[in-house]
Amino acid sequence: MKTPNFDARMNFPEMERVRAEIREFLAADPAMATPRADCWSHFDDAFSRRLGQAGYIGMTWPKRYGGHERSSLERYVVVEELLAAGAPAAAHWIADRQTGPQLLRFGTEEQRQRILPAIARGECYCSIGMSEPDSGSDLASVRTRATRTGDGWVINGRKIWTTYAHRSHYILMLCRTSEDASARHRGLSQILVPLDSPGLSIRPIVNMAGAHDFNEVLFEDVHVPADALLGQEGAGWDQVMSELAFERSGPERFLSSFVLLEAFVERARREPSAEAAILIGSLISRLAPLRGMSMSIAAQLGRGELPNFEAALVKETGSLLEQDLTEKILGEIAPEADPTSEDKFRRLLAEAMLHAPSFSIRGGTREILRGIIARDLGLR
Amino acid sequence: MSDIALIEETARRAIADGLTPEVIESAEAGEWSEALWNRLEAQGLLQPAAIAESGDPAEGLEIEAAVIRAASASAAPLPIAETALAGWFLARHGIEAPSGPLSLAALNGAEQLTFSGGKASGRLERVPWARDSVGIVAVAGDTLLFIDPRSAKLTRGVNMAGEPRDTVEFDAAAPIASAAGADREYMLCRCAAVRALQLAEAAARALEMTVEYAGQRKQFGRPIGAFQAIQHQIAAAAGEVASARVAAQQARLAIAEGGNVLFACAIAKARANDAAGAVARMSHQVHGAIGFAREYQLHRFTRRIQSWRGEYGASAFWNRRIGEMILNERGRSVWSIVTAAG
Ligand SMILES: Cc1cc2nc3c(=O)[nH]c(=O)nc-3n(C[C@H](O)[C@H](O)[C@H](O)COP(=O)(O)OP(=O)(O)OC[C@H]3O[C@@H](n4cnc5c(N)ncnc54)[C@H](O)[C@@H]3O)c2cc1C
Repeated sequence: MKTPNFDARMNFPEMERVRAEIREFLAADPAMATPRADCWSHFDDAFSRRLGQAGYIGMTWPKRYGGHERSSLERYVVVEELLAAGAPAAAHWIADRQTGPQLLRFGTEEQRQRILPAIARGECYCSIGMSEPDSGSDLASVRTRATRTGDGWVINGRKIWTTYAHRSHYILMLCRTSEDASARHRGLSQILVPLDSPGLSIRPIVNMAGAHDFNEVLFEDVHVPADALLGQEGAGWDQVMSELAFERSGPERFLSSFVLLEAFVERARREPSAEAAILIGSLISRLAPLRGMSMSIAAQLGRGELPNFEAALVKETGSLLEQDLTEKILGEIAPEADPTSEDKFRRLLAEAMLHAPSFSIRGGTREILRGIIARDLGLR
Repeated sequence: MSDIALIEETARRAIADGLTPEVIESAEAGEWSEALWNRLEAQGLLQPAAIAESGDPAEGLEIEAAVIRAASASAAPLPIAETALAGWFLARHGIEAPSGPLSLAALNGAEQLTFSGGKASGRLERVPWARDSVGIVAVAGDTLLFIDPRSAKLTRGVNMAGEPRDTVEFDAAAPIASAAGADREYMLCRCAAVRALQLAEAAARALEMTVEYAGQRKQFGRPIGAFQAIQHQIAAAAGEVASARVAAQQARLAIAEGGNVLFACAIAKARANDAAGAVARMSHQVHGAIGFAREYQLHRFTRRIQSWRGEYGASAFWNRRIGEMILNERGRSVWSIVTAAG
């Protein structure tokens, strides 16, 4: 049986330095007047630009691409501080977390030069073009097709649930580039498409919280140049698997609604009870080890490893904790959720509850993650 | 620095060689496993902190953890953890530990033990292997006592795993040694962190047995591990084991580095209690009837899990402590408390 590799020995002085810096930054930032539950689904481009100017995007990337050459653990600290504060971090989130690292890993020098500095400045945003109407969990079944032309590619098909496609600059697509049926996985490639390309149209999909975050993106003869291909033609599946390690392992899988816990503690300090104390303890005793696990993965990613097994474990246990956080506070102690309330706790409780169903869907469903874990344990 | 992996492997091998079916059966019947004990003692594995090459307390804790991992992963029926802990407390108070098995009190505040005029009186319940130990570490007020069980009236008892849990009553007994300045709460935390590690490792072994079994047992023409319902239960349990292990490591680091010991140990024990409980339940479900059979080994781990969950603090006890700690730190955010604890 394979044992996941987690090492919680993480005590580096540079982490505490950057923690103090980002806290100071956030304390002074106007966007922090309204902390958000599920905060990395809240888009505020002005905030992301300020963050980029201060050097908190693309932190680990080489300086020649606009990065700051800081360690992956320093980046981890910044990410968890943004989440814990409820910062509206959606605009740059995907680009910083996965599209940028994909470009660094697989992109050409020209692609990196062109895109990474703008991402690091907090000015260029990316969205994920994986899911399609008929391809959700079974991602390898995607049908959106990119066909070679004389000078590039022409794309036809549709992507769905593309978060913030309507406010981003690029979409990193997983497309079929070969119809060879025996090569279900090898027929896939990743292509980086500007979202203002002619023939590309974006239709909003409003979510159950009443917000327009995700979209359907339609491609009708969308032409892109040859250098829009990311990495190798036919290597799209393997590339996407490495993207998912970045997508799944971060602290957003258990801290996205931490501000709700913070507000609940404020409420419980006014109205203390043994039930509230036990509930707080039971949540914290699940959260603290998850932090250790996620930090350990950050260190592994920083060493160039791809801890997909560990990432699946973090996402799976993390999303359960996040759902229990809202479920138990609302269901057992404090039912007073109101999305329009002036009272911070009531508003956050409603926001978190209305986003909670998505926690075990986005980034791979609970069932798919459990399948990955089972496979790594040797059961499949 | 010592080679921790090598020490763990040495301990595993020593236990595996000595833990024959006959030893397991006689230990279940309440007999002292002298030969196995001597084998471990000869390897120097029973006072793990003492073999740290650097003399660094953090290294000693890592060695201790390696030995306890090995012991828990094989359900060794001996007070290995208790002896390590008691020896560590004695050393901290400048008392030289004798060789032989040591034990400790439950430290849960329910002990009725007094110490005056150089004599200890009172009653300690559910003391691990009191009958076989050469001394018991206990606390009266802020005095650490090291008491000889032969100076007590002893009533035998066991936990669900058949591990001795005896009641000892002292009537004006002179302790082997005593020392002022005992911190009962700190000791409770230290013990809770070790039980958390034992729980995590017993759960890891139950998980491992379950994965193996699910790969071998066939029904409906395929291994039961091919059924998604089975895979998902096991996968969820793998998450429990991983987080319990990390929590136990975090507690050990807090102790070694002088962090927020109460916070980290409370978290470790609460996490391990719940995680191991869930893993035990899952493991039995996946094993079907064979897991319920005495001849099969799974219960050796799950009975220990169910016994250890309540020792040195059940989950509600620690969760409440964590919650109250947070609630009482008015003016401080939860996040600042969590991150300061490391
Ligand atoms: C808030 C949010 C944002 C998102 N953002 C993006 C984005 O930016 N870009 C993007 O590409 N996608 C995005 N997604 C889509 C997301 O990746 C998919 O929703 C996810 O992969 C699941 O696909 P599906 O919704 O089609 O569900 P389905 O795959 O149809 O699954 C439905 C149910 O069936 C179960 N199921 C499916 N297959 C199996 C199986 N083999 N065994 C057992 N159970 C199974 C699933 O677990 C689930 O419970 C987003 C989703 C959400 C909720």
